[in-house]
Amino acid sequence: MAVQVIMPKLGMAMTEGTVVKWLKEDGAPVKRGEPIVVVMSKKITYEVQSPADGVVRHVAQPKDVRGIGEIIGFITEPGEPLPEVTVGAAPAEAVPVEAAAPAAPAAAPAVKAEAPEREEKVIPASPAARRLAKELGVDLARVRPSGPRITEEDVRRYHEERTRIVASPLARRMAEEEGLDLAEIQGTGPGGRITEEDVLRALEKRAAPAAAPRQRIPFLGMRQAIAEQMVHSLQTMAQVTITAKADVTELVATREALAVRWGRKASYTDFLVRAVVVALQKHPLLGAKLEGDEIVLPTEWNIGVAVALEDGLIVPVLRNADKLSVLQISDRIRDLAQRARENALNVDEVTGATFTITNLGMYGVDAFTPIINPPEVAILGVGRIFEEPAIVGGQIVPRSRMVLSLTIDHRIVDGAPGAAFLQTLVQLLEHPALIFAAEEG
Amino acid sequence: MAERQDLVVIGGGAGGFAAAMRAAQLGGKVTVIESAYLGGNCMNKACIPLTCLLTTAQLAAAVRKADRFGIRLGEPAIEMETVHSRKDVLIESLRMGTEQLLSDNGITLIQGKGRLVAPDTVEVNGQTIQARNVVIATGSAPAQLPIEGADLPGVIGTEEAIELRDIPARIAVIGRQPWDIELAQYFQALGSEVTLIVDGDQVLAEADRTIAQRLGKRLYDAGIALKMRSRVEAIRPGANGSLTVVLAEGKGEIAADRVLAARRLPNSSGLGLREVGVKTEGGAILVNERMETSIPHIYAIGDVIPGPMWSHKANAEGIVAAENAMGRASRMDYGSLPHCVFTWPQVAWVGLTEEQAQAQGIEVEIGQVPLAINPHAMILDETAGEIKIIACKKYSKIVGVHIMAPGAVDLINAAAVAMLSEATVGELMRLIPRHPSLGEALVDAAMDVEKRSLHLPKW
Ligand SMILES: Cc1cc2nc3c(=O)[nH]c(=O)nc-3n(C[C@H](O)[C@H](O)[C@H](O)COP(=O)(O)OP(=O)(O)OC[C@H]3O[C@@H](n4cnc5c(N)ncnc54)[C@H](O)[C@@H]3O)c2cc1C
Repeated sequence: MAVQVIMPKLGMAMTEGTVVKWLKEDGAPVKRGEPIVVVMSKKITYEVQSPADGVVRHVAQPKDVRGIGEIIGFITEPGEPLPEVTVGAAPAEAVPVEAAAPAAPAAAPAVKAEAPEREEKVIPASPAARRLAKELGVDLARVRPSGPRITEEDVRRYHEERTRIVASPLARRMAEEEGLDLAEIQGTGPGGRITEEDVLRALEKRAAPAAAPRQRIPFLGMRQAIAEQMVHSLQTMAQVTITAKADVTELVATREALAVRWGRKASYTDFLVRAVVVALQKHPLLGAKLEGDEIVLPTEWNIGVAVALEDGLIVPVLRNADKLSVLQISDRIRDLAQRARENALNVDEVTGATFTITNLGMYGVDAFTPIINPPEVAILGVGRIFEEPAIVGGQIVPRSRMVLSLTIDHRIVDGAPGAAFLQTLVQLLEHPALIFAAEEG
Repeated sequence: MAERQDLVVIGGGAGGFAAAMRAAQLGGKVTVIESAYLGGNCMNKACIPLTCLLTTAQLAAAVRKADRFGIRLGEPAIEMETVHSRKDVLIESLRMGTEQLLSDNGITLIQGKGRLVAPDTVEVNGQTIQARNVVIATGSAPAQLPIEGADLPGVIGTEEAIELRDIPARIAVIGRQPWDIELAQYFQALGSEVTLIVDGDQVLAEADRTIAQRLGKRLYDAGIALKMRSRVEAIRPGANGSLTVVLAEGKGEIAADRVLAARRLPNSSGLGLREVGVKTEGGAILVNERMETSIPHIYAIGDVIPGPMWSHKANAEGIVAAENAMGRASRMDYGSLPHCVFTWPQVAWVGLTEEQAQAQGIEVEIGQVPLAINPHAMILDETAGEIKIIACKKYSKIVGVHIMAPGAVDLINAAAVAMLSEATVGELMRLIPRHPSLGEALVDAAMDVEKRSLHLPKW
């Protein structure tokens, strides 16, 4: 009996996911619990484990997007026929599984071989690419490889372009040879057909700015998710940022002293997490959530810590930070940050924060206006530590300072409670003993 | 006339007819002014009558070689009266059909000479017609060659040649336009001794060189005397009412009873063009790709504008002009215009010649198939021709197709469709023509672009 492999729900907001890569070839034997396929939400990637012993059968292909709970594959007995699946519809309307793949012979009549290749030499292509090309009637000689050899994906992309876009044979040929994407060319022929003239125009356009080729970064996946979230945040909340300066001379000294004792240096963020938990417990409104027409105060103290990645940002969450010591917090943050960079966080580790801290101190930033991560209602921005002359006991002495930037959702938190929270936080940071006092108590 | 017209067409020939019909289809009130015969030169004095005569001549030529196909007929006797009456009846019925079509479409036909008196006013027979748009489709007019003696009796143009009922014993043809070659073959088939005098090194001025060479050889083999690279110095009166054509540079003299010395010039005089401000060059009215002249709402089409003189070109231009006049946006594209010569075997081409392509800096690839290897051409005993495809190395774009073959004027349309729809050589290669047929040679030529024809010997 075939066992379904479905697109898992990886987060509260997730409605669909993308198949990144099958870790087991179609038809390969697997044991229950073995990782078989990597899927991706907008936030994280995730290895799906085999739900059973048997043979892996691919239904969705890399880059295919599937809604949560939709079938992406099966674990079957060896030789067992593949059950029927339909994409995005109830199983009742099932169609043969081949039709689910976007380009199978039944769904799209095979395109006859193109103009034969000029040199009859062996074209480097993966076996899967060869199989698909044969199935779809695609002439491999016309497929542009994305790497050293043609992959299954290259064949699929080529086929989709060819079947979807109306263009004259000459226009196609020109676009292929010039490496132009027909999808980006506006057709002006009968019925919007792309003609030679249209391709020539596109070529001219491409030739024009040849002097300085602009680098293009795909606005997809995580980048798009961040963009959506940030815009959503600013559009739905009344965000106000207030700042306060803390004298962290003592914290600097404490950190140095503890480094000797612990045998390694905790980061300022580690102390800040701890201090924030203490401050939040005193001012729980700052950790609230808006649910319908109710403001719900927190019962858990989960702190999100923003981690910069090469191509984005992720906010791993320290669950129950109130139960952790500074040293434990330090260990956990290191581990989370490390795994965030390796793209190996699990769902619980990126969701459910009560409050978020974002530290730009290491980049020399003084103060800034962080944007709240919905559904949270506040976020703390941490600036750099800098020396400043201060008058202590009638004498001018150097002191270490840090600016804290607190953004609050004014719909829920007014200026005064925000300021009170900030004041508590400043006190804790200025007197680190209080942080540890709370740790004991 | 009281009512203002959406379109007034001056000239009811090939182009004018198309313009009038299209404008009427689009709901326009249309008037056509014709000074001579409806159908123009094309129907009355050129394409139709000449093709009719050539068909007779080809049949005669076929009869002469019928014994090769197992039919013994002997030398055909040609009755010129029947040849001409058949032609005249045909023209008459076509002309009546044209008139019927115009009236069926509510188009007013006025017999008379039209002239612009203002950009929106046309005068005919002393009355004026207000016109939102005017199409000038006055065609071309015969003219003498600028040669001493061109005005002698016995020196004729195409119109006289077509009407000639006595086949001259000797005729000299000066020129290398399609009608020159066609008429040379016509008279030769009807028994004249023909000399073709060509000022240049190929018999068809505009054709691809290798095709023109093949045609030249074919004419020579049929018994036409060819004087290549020969300029005519003068035509002089000869003995007994005959004529002597004197070639320049001492290349000799040709004695003939008739001399065909034809040319045609745009028919743009007496139309009031200068007064209204329509720009011309060498008598030809200048237009853009929408067939608009330098004056808004005045269009010009056909032989009266620059470019090759073809009836089907005038027809296509008429449609474009009418659509623009009726407020549509239409452009003329000459890229797939076929050029057709009704010789036997026929010659037709579309696009660029090899020489033109090279002159444009195109890196060309050539596919070439002599009909000597085509089974159907062998069956027809017409293997003198060839099919040649000029492709652009880059993108495999078809830039020209040249055919010399029986039925070339029809076969060329397959190539024209390919070019019009921007097929590449690859698509032509995938055609599946009937076997045996001449279409096979077209596919072979396409395959030969990549040197992979199955039927060509390996060089
Ligand atoms: C011998 C010969 C053979 C040819 N054979 C072919 C062929 O086989 N195939 C082909 O495609 N082409 C052929 N042509 C060319 C073809 O005849 C012309 O290209 C075609 O007729 C041009 O069409 P048009 O409408 O511009 O002019 P036309 O068809 O000549 O029509 C112009 C009309 O305007 C009329 N007109 C002129 N001035 C006025 C005025 N002021 N007022 C009113 N009416 C006026 C004329 O009487 C004429 O009827 C041949 C030409 C010649 C000479």
